[in-house]
Amino acid sequence: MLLSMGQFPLLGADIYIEDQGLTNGPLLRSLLLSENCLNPMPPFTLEIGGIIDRRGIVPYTAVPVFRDANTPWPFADKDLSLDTLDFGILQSAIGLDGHVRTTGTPVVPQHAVASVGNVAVRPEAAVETSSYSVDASAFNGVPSRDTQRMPYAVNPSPLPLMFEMPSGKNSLLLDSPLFGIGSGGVLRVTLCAADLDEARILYDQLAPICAIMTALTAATPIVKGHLTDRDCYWDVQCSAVDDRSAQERGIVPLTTAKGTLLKSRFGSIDTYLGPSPTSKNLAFRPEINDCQYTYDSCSYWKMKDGGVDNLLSQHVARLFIRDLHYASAKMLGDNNSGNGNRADGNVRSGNVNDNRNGSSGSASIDSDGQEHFKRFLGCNRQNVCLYPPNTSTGSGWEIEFMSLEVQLTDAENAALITFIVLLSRVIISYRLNLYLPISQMDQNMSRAQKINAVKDQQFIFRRDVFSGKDGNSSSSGRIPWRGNVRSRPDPHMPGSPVEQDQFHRHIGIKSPESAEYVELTVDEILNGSPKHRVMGLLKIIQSFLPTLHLEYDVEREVRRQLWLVERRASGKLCTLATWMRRFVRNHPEYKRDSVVSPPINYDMLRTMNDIEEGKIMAPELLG
Amino acid sequence: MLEILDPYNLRNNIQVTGITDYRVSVKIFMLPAAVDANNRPSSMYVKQALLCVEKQLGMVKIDELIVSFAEISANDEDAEDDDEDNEDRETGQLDSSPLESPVGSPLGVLPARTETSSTDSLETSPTAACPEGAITDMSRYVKVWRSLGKLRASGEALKIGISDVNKQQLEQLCRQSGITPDIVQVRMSGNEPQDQGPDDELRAYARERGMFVGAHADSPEMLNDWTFQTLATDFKINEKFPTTEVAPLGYKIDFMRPRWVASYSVMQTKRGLVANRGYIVMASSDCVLNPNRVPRKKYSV
Repeated sequence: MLLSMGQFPLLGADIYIEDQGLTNGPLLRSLLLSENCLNPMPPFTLEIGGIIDRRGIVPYTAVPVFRDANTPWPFADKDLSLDTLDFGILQSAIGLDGHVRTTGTPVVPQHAVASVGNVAVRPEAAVETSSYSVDASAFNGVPSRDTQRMPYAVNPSPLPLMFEMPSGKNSLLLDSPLFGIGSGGVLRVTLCAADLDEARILYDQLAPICAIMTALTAATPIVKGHLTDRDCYWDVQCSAVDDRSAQERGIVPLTTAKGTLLKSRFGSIDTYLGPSPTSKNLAFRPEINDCQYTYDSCSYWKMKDGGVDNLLSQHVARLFIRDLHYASAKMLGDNNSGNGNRADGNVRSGNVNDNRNGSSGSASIDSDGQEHFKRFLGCNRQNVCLYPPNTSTGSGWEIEFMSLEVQLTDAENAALITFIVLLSRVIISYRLNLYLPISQMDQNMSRAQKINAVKDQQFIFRRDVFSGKDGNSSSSGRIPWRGNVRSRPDPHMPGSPVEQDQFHRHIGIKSPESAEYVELTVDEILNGSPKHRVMGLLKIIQSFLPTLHLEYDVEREVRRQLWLVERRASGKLCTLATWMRRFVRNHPEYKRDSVVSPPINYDMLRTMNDIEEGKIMAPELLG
Repeated sequence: MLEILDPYNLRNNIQVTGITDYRVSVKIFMLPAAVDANNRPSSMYVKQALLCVEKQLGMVKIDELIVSFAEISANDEDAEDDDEDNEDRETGQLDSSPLESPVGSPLGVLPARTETSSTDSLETSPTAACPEGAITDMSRYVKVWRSLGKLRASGEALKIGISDVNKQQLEQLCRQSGITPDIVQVRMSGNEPQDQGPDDELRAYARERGMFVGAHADSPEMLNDWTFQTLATDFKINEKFPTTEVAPLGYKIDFMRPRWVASYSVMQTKRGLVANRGYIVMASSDCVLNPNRVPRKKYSV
């Protein structure tokens, strides 16, 4: 039985598979997963080992559990230590190595502390107590940055912190990077761009779509044998591979690290690339890059001096703030020995040939440089990624779209890929303007992962995707809506009231039909909304499709695929996550305590397999 | 002449290095008012449309030239739509009957209604087609179709096509004109399977003869007089483009009526991108008999 699904629901939940093996092994150092889960080949073991060593401790992830009728509340993951010092109510305590420990979120269980002691803990890494919990932002409803402004150690009184980060409570605990790498099935769509300019356009415009697609393709409601309060796996994946050291997370003062890093190495984008300097497109305004991030200044200046423009230099320099976890000796050449495993954040720039500024004299562009850079790109994953050309494989500039969760059937996956590819064609052809401030994009991303976000949540989105290229922030569009011709002020007149406001005030509350950004459901974004004067993305694709002059049958098939996306967006078909939740809750053995027991899991996977093979019909899922 | 252009798709908008294959497609929608003195769709408008496209795009080779006749495409729809369209056509024909196409042509030339026996069927065929909704007589479209054939023969258009016809209409047209299309377009509007009315007969027929069957999503009624008048009023077209002609005694200049719409698209075939896309609408006024005219005095010798 071969299923394509995001995550095995019982991974990490006690005994979930035959010949599971013993947990707490030397490679994974996890209490939930045994060594059998890990491929013993060097790239995989080194990657896992590198993450743990760099962070100083196993990265802990807290996934909020779904509260059902009989769920014990407050929920305590049974893998949490029962020590009152560690759990729940906040108290400071002295940790193993003498550092002040402020607790608030799932604490290192006692037996895990012993295993940490087996690893050479570097002096600056405190005994880890609070993991970076990605869910704080979702609960607080503010962008994730806000909760990280103060390094914890600076805050004298630990009590307010607990309220700042409540998400440690009522959560499931995951304790291995393996929950992030190698799990969390993502449909990666790689689009080839003609040149760097087009790649930048695609990168920027596909980024706001990520949250929408995450909500649309939600497929992972069950983690570690429990129903969770999330339908998507993105946040879990990002925090499971979080290799930031304690300094970078702001827990202890900065000594050797380069700076505080606000996001895990997997995360949503930090900055738009903006159009190329020669482009006449004025849709991008610098103020929409409104989030802080740290980047490596040496690399930045090197690129700037080489003629690369500001935003692109920053984007690439952002990559070099992270470290590789391993490198083959061949890649390192003869200059350095040992592997790239380090936690002090210094970039060995001598090792890496920056081959991005091909225009200036980067003296030797040899293939090792490309390999190195590709590895760095592999370390950093955002929801859209930009890959430079690779002379050895002959590929050009590529954009990889990472926000689709893998679906059950091949037909659905194909439909999603078709949608993304057609969307990219439309974006390039019609030069759509989907720019959204980064902070609002992050907010969308956290909303997208909630339960049934595709129907219940609203996302901030640009109302008029055709306007804005002439630099006017006004968004009433060129052609006035019928019936309002005389009453509308001329949007191109300077001093027009709509133009002068800050963009964040354009979230339409009073006048949704003229605001720049409005809160829309996925249905409205994709299928259009006359009320908001939103032309849906699917409608735009539909109008674009005939120009391709496809053969009749081909076009019919493509339209059928778009129809699937249309119905998922409108809610006529449910997402896989909703389907799974429904199945569990309707199962006779389910006790309404959010626990998915092995029999329930078995039946569910069996049913999913039958659906995939066509033995069972699932009209609510597939139409 | 009105050009509805998409200003964000300038010709040089996409800068691509390297060789790119472009495909230029033009589709001409012959509206009900695009008729000549014999009340048949006039091939002059086809030439006019191509000139306008050339003016817009430059000297490009047209890869695909497709024509769509408003009456036929409208009649392809359900009966409800047919009734509306028939009314439009009737009023259209009444208005256009006593006059010539462009403003300024000699007046007083009445259409020769009794020229050929087929003209009787010209007047009656649309209205008689109400019950079933399909036009059975394709003879009035032969002239335009032949002109397209000439364009293909001369090399100005690589492929020609027709859209929204059924099998009988296509057969008749090919037989009467001796010209077979390269492309047949069928309407496919929405994404739902039932929207894609399967015209298997037509598709099988077309495939047998090596014609490419494509799909389009254009509305069956591209632009009717009423919509045009509403737009003209909103955008003050009548004021911005006043006619310089003076109507002779007893006649008046009628409202502008849209004659044809041409949609052009330039595609980068290998990458599936649109390089340029736009619509051109041509409208003109007719000189009609003024209903309020003073009757001529009769002089007796």
